[in-house]
Amino acid sequence: MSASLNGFVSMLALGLAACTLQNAVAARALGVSRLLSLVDDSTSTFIFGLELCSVTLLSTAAHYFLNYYLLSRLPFADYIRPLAIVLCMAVSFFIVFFFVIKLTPIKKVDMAVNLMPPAAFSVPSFATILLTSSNRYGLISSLVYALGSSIGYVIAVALVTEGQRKLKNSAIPLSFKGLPVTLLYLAGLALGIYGLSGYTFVF
Amino acid sequence: MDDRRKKKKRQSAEPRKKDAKLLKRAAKREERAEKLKNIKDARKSGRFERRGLSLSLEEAARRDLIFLNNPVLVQGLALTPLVVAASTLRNALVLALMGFLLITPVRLLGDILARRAPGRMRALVYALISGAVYIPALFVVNLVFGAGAVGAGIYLPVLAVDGIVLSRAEIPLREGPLRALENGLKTSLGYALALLFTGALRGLLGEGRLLGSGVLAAAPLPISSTVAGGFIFAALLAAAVQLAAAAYLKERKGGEEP
Amino acid sequence: MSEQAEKRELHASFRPSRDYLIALAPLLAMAVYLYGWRVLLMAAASLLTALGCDLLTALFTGRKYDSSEISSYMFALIYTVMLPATASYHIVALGTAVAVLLGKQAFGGYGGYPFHPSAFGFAFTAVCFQDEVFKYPRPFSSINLGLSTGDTVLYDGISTTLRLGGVPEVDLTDLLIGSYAGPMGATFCLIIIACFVLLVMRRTISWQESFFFLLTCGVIAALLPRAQLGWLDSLAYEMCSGAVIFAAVFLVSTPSIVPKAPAAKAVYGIVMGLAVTLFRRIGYFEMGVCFAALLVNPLAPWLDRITQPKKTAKGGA
Repeated sequence: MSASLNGFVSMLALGLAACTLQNAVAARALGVSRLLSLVDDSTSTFIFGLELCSVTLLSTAAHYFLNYYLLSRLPFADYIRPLAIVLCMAVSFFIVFFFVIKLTPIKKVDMAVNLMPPAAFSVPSFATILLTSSNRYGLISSLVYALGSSIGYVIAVALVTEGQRKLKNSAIPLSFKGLPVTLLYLAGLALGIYGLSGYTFVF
Repeated sequence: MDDRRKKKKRQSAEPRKKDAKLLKRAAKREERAEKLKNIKDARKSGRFERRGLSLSLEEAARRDLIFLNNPVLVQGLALTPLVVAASTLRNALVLALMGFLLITPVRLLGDILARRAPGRMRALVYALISGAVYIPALFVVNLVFGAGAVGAGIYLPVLAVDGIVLSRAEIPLREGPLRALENGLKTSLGYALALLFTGALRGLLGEGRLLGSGVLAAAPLPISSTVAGGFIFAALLAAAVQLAAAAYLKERKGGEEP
Repeated sequence: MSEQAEKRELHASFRPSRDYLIALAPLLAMAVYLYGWRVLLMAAASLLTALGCDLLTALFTGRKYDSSEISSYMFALIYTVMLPATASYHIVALGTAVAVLLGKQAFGGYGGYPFHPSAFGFAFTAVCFQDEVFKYPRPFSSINLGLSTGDTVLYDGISTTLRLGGVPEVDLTDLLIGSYAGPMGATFCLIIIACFVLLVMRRTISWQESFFFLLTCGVIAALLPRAQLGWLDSLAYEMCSGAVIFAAVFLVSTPSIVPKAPAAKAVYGIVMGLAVTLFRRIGYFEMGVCFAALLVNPLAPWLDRITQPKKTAKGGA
């Protein structure tokens, strides 16, 4: 009982760490370019987030097995890993695409379908899979990490969207309007997260 | 009779053909002269001329993928490697080389191979091409930098799916191989310039070093090596480019007014 | 609206800055008493830097410099009093410049920033100069006025001792009056509480966010003491160290950042209290209030939206 409780607590801690300490945007600056295009519409953020989570989870699981049975035995795995991850993402893309068509309300289907490609082949998703394999996580740990990372990304997008609302109303100097002020806002969030971890994650 | 008529027709057609050819050549000469005149006029008036097309300043700025429409500091692509991994000049060089080896070939091959792909599958095609091109690209990077490539961490493979490589997938218009090659090279150059400048500055301020050799006694701004510092640098550079571009366009527009 | 009426309105919105500066004066005076004239030189350096930054902004943006806009001085001094009295002048100037230029002006000036500029400036310099910013001289130490503070012995703050599970060697009286090694203007709990009362009575700030912030921090400190302390001692040490009370008055309740709705203010205070406690306990830096503020401040408008009742189609409440 205590072992399973310990396991649960460590998984929870891993997921929380992936969401906060190693936040995809604030700690690793992943998916910043895509985030900038998402911040205007909260509905698309929610749908994009759902699709991103789904694809990331499925791709992580697929890559885990691919890595376990094939890639880890190859000496040149580092060379073909990106292609392998893209293939896993492609498989997940089709699976999620099917469910998106079936389950999305008719009014939102077009938007959901248009958001599928950027959600499926996104930097946060790709980097999460890469991290789970480089850190040698087990299957459950990989899935928990992937879920935490995706949720962290969506939270970051929501925070930036909120910030943009305030920034739209202020008299920002011309040279800082648009990209520069958003990057400065992200710098503030990154500084805040740095106050927790005190470390820059490159691997 | 028919043969004679045919022969007569042929004989009368031949000089007409020759006249037509001469006329065509003369027309081409006139067209070239007209184009040259337009270019000279445009230069005087401050407008841009390119392949005979008269472009507005804004359009010309949009096509300048190196400075005025820099892919990183203006369009906001490839911010991930710039903010995190380009904290030293060495890392920036590694990422810049990988960028050169990925962006142009993927754009070129994508333009050819994704031609018939439906809109939603284009991203998949581009991503697969990018994954495949990554293999020889990494080989070259390892050959050039050896163990030095490790410093870029996961941000080297992440470049394979970054917006700067895959963003063309979202635009369904064909650009043609030559244009794809040209734009790919320009994008790579713009990306490399942004990365190298940032890497050099952050390395100097964050560690007091440049390519491993100590330049300053102590690091003046250690925050430069962190993600927050990367964001701040990117913001300041983007603001500087925006300011410079606005001033440049304002000056050129001032040249257009009578 | 006429130009005079606009100018009057503008001036009224800058009243908080003036009141904050008045509130900071006794803190500076006490700091001078404990640490010497260097405090005044540091304050002067930060004010001059703030003035320079405002003039630079006016030059680059083409806007006219408004001498009645004194919020930059407020942010400069709030940042400065969180530093140790031995902090170098370049740290003072750099942090002030970052706070004013990047934390305030880049976001559009007064009221446009999503997080507290002083917190932004402090976090920036804390990351750059961690050793200088989190090491403090004892009161009545001899501190050089020059660029180098010489052989002044520096000590860790109470927060560091608590993080390591130790018991601080500061008695309650010294704790309340602020006579221990800590940030030069952020340790005087009794004076800060008096400043809080003054600011609330002048209606510069509201009491809700500070009250709920302190309540949250206090409840956690009492229920989960860190060192081998009773709940009362834990409460005293936790609340009086790490600039918690200072943050409650000068960082948490800044009118241009906090939510407007009373319910939102309460929630904001609670969230801030939780965040500050988390940062102080497991965060990397000793004084986590500024880092916590960077993450919680942007939530203020969202809290306003979710706590306000939705208007009906006919425009009812």
